Amino acid sequence: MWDTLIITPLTNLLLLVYGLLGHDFVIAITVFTVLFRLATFPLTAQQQRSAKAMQELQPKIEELKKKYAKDPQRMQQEQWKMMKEAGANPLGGCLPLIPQMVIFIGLYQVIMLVLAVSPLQMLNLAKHLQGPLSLGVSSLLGVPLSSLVPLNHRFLWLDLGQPDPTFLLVIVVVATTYWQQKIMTPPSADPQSKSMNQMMTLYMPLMFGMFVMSAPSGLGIYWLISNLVGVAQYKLVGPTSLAPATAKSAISARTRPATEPPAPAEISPPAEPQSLPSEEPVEGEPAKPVTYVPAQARSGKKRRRKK
Amino acid sequence: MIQRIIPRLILTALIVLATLTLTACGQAPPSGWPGLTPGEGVVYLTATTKVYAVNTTDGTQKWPYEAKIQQAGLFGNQTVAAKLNAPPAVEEGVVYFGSDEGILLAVDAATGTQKWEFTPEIPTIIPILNIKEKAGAIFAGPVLAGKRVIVGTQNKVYALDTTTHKKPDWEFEAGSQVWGTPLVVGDTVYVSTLGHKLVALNAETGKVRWVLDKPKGALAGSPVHDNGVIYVGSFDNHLYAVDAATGEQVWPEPFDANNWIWEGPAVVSGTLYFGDMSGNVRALDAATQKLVWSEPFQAGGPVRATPLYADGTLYVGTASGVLYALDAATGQPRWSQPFQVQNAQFLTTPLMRDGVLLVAPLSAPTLLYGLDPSNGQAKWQFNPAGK
Repeated sequence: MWDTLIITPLTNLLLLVYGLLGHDFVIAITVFTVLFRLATFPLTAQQQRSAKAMQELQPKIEELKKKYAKDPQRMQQEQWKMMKEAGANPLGGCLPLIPQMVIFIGLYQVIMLVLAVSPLQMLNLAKHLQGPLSLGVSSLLGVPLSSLVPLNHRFLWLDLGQPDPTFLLVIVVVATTYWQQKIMTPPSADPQSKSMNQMMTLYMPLMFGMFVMSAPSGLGIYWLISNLVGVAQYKLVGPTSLAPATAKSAISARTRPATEPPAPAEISPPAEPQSLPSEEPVEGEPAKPVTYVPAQARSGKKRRRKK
Repeated sequence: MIQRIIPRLILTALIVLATLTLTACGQAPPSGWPGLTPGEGVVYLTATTKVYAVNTTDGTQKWPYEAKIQQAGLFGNQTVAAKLNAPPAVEEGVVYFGSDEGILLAVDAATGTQKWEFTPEIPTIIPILNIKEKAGAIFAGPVLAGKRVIVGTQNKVYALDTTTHKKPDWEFEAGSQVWGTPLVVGDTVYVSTLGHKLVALNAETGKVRWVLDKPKGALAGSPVHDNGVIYVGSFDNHLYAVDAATGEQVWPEPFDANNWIWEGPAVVSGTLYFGDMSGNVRALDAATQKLVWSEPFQAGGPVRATPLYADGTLYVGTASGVLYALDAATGQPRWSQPFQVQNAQFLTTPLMRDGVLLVAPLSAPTLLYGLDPSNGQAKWQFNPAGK
């Protein structure tokens, strides 16, 4: 099932791209990564938005936990209500990750498969080319798939089927993973989330570095390109599309003339602490003011109130 | 405090687990399959990290040999067991075989003690740090040509004097990997390459005699010779027949199997028996290119290895773990033996010695089976791990 739906189509597609683009594995993997990133962009954006919204709600959730410490059921109800109003869904951060992870794992396996630097790997690759071949399809879009293997697995000093003996690739992958993590992790006001984010920003690059150290350098190249494409995507379209619309921008977008340039999507929160009246005071408990509310969560609420 | 520490611990544990998993995923999987070569009353088997001499009559072990080599690691050189996936060659009491680490080894055939090893020179990437490329694996079996042993590696062919064995007598730049055992006929060495070429070399000098560059796919298997014609299969789905002396194609068009042909055919009395990766096994008249059987035999799994012909029967193993005995005249099955071992694959050509059919499956605890050729029942099993 997995092979039929994911591995075989991706394998043949990657070989096709390789065949169409001058038999260069690095070019093929670059194009493939860009296509993958484009195809999964709506999911990435959704996941990032949801994660960001959840992080911004953290201080309020903490307040709710304190407020309803003796009434967990009420606390949950209030938490759901608040998240619903803010447009955040705790599963919204995870669900879009599932199809992305599926394709990502498939892509990882496909890269290992098509590099086929040993006879046994070649035999496995042959099984995935069986589909088109047994249907009498020896070429796709004029590209004879059978003649493409083994792929040209030399790039600069690298044998893409072997780990990089110089460790330069490891260093570059660690650096670009850190870069991507750093710019794509949304800032968090909650100290615990902040600390977790810092850990992830440090550990993720190290984890990938250890992996690239022992993996075929073709996979390292894929990580590197994936990181660079991710950063480029974020720089080009990410910050605007990932940020939830603020009240001001949402309102002005409705009233702005078509010729007027769009307002900035993000509005910086004021530096001084803000206060917001508590939603509904619990019987017997005094309503506590919330000491800090991130701008976007707050503006999302305002927008809904204005409706 | 505890509320802060616990999520951190969980996160750290997850990261460590993910690192270990990913690192394990990056490790190289097995690269090839067992190699079998007959000797005097024994068969020499290369499997995983050892060469075994196994008595063909009862499957008892005569000797095992494990090659320990020095390999550069993160923390300096370390001693590791060489991975052996190339079939051995045996000549004048010496067993020759190559390793995944690119080393050619020679072992005494009687005792299993190492005589010598040869490591090809490896290009340096960063001279100042003495960082070298990884040595090209030897997946092709060595072959003897007079006093020389000839071996193909990732992109070179070396001819080494078996007595001096320090420096190659000649080297041939193949331009791409050599996975098929070269073929020696007279004073010519025939080398098939993954770069779509069949090359004929002078065995004395290594000079090129002719090159067949018509195939559009890799030539991963060994060439086969019969009656002045060289046969070789290709990943472009064709079987080629070329004149051994000139390299000219003998047939007007190569035979189209509609799927990869990995290994060359078994040739018996002018008939070529071969399988392809879709599982079709065919008998082809070498002179007329006509199919001998009414239809190909469908083995139900990729047929990588050359079939074995013995006494009117064709023995064919598949990558799906089934061994067949076919009537060579008709292609009808006489018996089949599905091996009930998980992931067992037959990727090595069987051997017939002393009335015993020898088969070496991949991925099975039992490395070698001695079967009754009349019914496929096991006479003995060679399982050095004893599982």
